Amino acid sequence: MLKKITLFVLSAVIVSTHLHADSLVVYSGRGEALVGELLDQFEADTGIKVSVRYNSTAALATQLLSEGAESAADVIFLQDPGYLGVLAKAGVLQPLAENVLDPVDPRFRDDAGYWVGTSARARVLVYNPDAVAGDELPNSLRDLADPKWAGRMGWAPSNASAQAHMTALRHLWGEADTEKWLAAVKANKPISYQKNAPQVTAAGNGEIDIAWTNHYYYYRLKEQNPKLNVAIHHFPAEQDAGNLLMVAGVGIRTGANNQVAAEALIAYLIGEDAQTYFAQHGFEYPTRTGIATAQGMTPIAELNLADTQQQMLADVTKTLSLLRALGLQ
Amino acid sequence: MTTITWHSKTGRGVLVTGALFVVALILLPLFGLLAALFNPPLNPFIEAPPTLAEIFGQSNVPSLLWSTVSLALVVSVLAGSLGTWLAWVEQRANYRGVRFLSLLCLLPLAMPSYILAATLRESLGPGGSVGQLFNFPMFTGFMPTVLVLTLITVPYVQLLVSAVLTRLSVSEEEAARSLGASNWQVFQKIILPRLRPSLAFAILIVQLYVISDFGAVAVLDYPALTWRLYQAIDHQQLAHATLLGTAVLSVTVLLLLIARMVHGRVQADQQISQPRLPQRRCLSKRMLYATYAVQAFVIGGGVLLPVFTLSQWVLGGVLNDLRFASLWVPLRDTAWAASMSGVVIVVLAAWPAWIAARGSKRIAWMVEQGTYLTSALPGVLLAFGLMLAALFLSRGLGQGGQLYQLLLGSGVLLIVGYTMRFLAEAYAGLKTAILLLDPRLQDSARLLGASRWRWFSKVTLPALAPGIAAAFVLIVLSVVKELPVTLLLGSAMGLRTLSFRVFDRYQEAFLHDAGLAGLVLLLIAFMMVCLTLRWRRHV
Repeated sequence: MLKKITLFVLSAVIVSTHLHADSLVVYSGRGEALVGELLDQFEADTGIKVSVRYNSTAALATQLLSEGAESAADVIFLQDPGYLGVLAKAGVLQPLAENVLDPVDPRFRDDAGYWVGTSARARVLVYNPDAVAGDELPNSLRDLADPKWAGRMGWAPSNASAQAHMTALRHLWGEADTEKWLAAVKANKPISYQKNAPQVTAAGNGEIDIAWTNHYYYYRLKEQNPKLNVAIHHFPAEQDAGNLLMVAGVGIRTGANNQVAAEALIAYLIGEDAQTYFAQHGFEYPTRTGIATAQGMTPIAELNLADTQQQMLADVTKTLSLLRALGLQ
Repeated sequence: MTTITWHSKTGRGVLVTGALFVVALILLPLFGLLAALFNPPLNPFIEAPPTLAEIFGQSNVPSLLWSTVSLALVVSVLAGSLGTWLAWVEQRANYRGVRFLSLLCLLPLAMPSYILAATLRESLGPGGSVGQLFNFPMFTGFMPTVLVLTLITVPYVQLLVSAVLTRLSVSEEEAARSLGASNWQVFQKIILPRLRPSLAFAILIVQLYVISDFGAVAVLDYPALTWRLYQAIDHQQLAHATLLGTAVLSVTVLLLLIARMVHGRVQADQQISQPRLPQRRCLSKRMLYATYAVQAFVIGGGVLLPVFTLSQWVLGGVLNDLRFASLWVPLRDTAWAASMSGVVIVVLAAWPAWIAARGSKRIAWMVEQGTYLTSALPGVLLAFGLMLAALFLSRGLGQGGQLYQLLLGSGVLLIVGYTMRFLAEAYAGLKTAILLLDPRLQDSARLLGASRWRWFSKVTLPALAPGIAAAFVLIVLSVVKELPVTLLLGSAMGLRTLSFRVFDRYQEAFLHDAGLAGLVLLLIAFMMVCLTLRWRRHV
């Protein structure tokens, strides 16, 4: 019996090894929910086998650096451009061809052409209209430090998007102001959530009045439950630091084993079909010019965006130290 | 401890080699972590590595330690007593619906902690289906975490204790009863002393579960060591992660020491392997209602409410005409991962279990501590350590990254990860079963001139079958539900299991997809529990 089991195990191992040989390897810091179906579709359309490794953006970036030239990765698909910037600097990424860069809005791709944005998310406030009157809504992100929000606010200080936003604040406002603001918000005893989605549900249930989150959770949850009692708010102050847009981007590893297939995948991801998918399925902002956003979404032009560079979002280590010093992490 | 009369020298050699092999496996991720400590992976996001003082100063390790230990203690006491109660009524009590309700009480085995935490958080919180009826406060913090982890671990205790109860000789119980002893007196004087070793194992497993769980503490944002460790690894704060990992290890070792003190001496020859069926006793009215209440708590909180909430999520998708993602890939990948690791782990656990039950005391002690230690390592730490170990090994052998890629891409690392994570579960069950083997049967077989193989296949294996089956089910269920190892090592080979699907879609707020995958996952697990119980009755 032991022999049979050993044989079974060995053959299964060998079979699975063969299944994954010679495929296009994608390191994805983006969730399977957001890109899985697209990659399956690419596989079906082109006949190119795709093997995806999903992990957090930070973990994949570190893994790539420790694997060095021995990495199996062909395509690197990350949630934050800051990390793509670090990888480009370290020589892990190669410059992309003009034809995959050109269709994308220049604001949403690397100036040197090492990565290209595939979709974007906006930071917003979601509120319960029964609990917050229209004239009570904050003019700027800074106003969340006001004591009137004591016990009424939700946030996700351990979440990567929130931390990227705080990192941007350090660049926009400076270290001292950011720390002061975080301390003041903390003094308001906001309710901490591990993820963004439960915050939006909580605002709808009246657990909190306002939630500091990403725009698409509002649209996704509203689609599943149109009765959810929430509304979305962008800060009216001119180029307010609260109105931040974050891009997810993709690049090709230097020395990729499957160069042609990797280029084909990137062209596919910024193609009209994939861009429409990002916009309609996930309620994200498409990065290719001329693609419509999902119905009912605030257009990018009306977001009154803060003046940031995507690279600013990478320096998350200092943000983490700050959060720990404040007892928030 | 019985003396070894049966094994030949080669037989013993095979056993010892096997046990040492398992111990070597255990040391692999520790080796990886150590290697990484002395040869740290590049971290581009740290300008200057923090000093030890800085790390200690910022880590809140004492308060994290306290919150973790108190959680483990409270949950294990609750789950230990409730689980023993449920096991006793399952095997000894006679009342309406005992079999059906006992079966239902095992169903939380199917429940991954992050699903239970997420669904209870939604249904019991303000505005939730139950929460709004009773005006419950927010469902986060210590008590909700205790509730979730207790519901999840009670069935482990019930399953393990119940397996022992079926194998206990009933003659002493009957003698005590004929002398007028009450249910409680019989339980306290006759059953409990014999349950002690398995109860100690069960409680230990509950504590190990709590310490290494990250799903519930993450969803409920409870400041446990594992949750902070996960965040540190997620953000690649490796120095910080190492400190937290060391703290987790220390708690684990401490627990093992305590468990050793609690551990009663097992007399292998006191128990028999083919007992008569005990007579089921009626319960007093008060006991009956209390039992119904406990079962309603476990079934309602651990099964019905989560299933109801998941169904609500699915219904939301159906009513609003949303498209559901195909379940084909998650089903295929789950079947592969669970069946592979189930077989591998039971076979591997049999070695140390046999050694521990029958072998020399010193080796048994080493093997046992090693087994518990490895299974107590949080999945995140373990997976990360394994990846590092494979990378260092690959480079050390002059294979560059090729061996590493092969180990990772073929699923070998994944299966090793599952093995290490769940070895203790299979081990505890198998060891208990082996201890309960009647050594006299061995002698009779020998007297009748049976060959060693014949003795093993005709006498030992059938007697061990319930233990093996229980171990296999525990492993398969654990793997189907497992998350961190699946995330880190499974996704590295493109594996997308059901648990991955649920977690991923929940995170991205595609609740209809998460709900559907969660329901399917629970259905599969439910069928498995039913199958085993049916099979167990035939033996």
